[in-house]
Amino acid sequence: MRRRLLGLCLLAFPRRVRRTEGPVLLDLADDLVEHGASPVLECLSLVRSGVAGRLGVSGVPVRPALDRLALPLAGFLLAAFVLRWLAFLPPGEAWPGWSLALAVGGSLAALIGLMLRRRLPALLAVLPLAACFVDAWRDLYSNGGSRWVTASVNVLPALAPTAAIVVAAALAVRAGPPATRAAAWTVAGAAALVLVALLIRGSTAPGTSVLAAGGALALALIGAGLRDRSARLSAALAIVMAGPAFAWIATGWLGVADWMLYVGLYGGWTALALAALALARHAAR
Amino acid sequence: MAEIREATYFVLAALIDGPLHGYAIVQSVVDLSDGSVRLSAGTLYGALTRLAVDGLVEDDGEEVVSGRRRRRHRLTDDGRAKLLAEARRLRASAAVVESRLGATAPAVSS
Repeated sequence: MRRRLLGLCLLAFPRRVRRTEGPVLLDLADDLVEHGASPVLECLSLVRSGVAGRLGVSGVPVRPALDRLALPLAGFLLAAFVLRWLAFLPPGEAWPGWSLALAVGGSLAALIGLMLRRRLPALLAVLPLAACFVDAWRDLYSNGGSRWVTASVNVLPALAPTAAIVVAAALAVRAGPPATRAAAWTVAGAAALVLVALLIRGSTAPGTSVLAAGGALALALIGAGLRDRSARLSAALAIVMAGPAFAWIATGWLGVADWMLYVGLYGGWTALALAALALARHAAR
Repeated sequence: MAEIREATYFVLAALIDGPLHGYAIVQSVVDLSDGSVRLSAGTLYGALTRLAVDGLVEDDGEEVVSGRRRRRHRLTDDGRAKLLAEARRLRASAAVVESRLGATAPAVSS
């Protein structure tokens, strides 16, 4: 069963590589799992390596790039969900609902896990990610509708990419000294973001916050990326984070039909993913 | 000269004493790094592929051990030179910091 699973993950590699390297790679992964390595992480590592080879981005410094983004994005995610709790609930309601409560709790746990460099609590970032998809499903198919949607902003394009990057960062966490100081700055920054957003509540929404935060982060990292390969990849990820929100808001401004919003969203997402891929390829050199 | 990442540095170091297969490299890297670097199969494959493209390691044949196919890899002369250069660079960087810390030893040791 384990070997079959690892063999399945090998499909991520091009056929040419599978033919020449497949059996050796499979035996190596199997050996490592037999001697205590996590089968999940070995599978993910094979898939990552295979996909990176197919895309021509092998050698991209993924771990340092995620390390660089992990705390700021976890802090931003927490701020965005707290902001939604504080600012966008119907008047008179104190309880935000289970999905938003889990999203706030998961974001907080992820921030603490990343600060302490513990993978298990950090992986609770899957809660806000799952909550984004649950909310989107309710928005589209449930009679009650979404409790999260406000104005023309949809939480799925706005926050799911950020949550996905935090989950990826949580998977890459390695044991080490706690990043207490960095976490303190992150919490301070997140609190300031919530405060400012509440002060200008009339013109604020998570989508525009994501756009502003992602854009600022990408610009800063592209500047740093002129000297540093991992920063170039961090910038690519920040663009991916802000891209869907940008596409969603831009198509909303144009006042187009609903189906065109989705075309704009997924088209914009694809275009920005390609741009990020080009940046990542640049980072691989 | 391009930077060498920590994992790559230890992969090259693992091959100093002679050719090793993938699993032995992973074990050796854990020992050499005092447990701080643990390579997965995909990561090791990526590192070895890049090192082979750069001419720093090369294949040294295959063998079957306990029914498992294992490919040995060995350090090239260029790989040895690169590793030596990186070790010297790290030593020089450490010396700068140590000498500066030495100048402020009372504050550091208290």
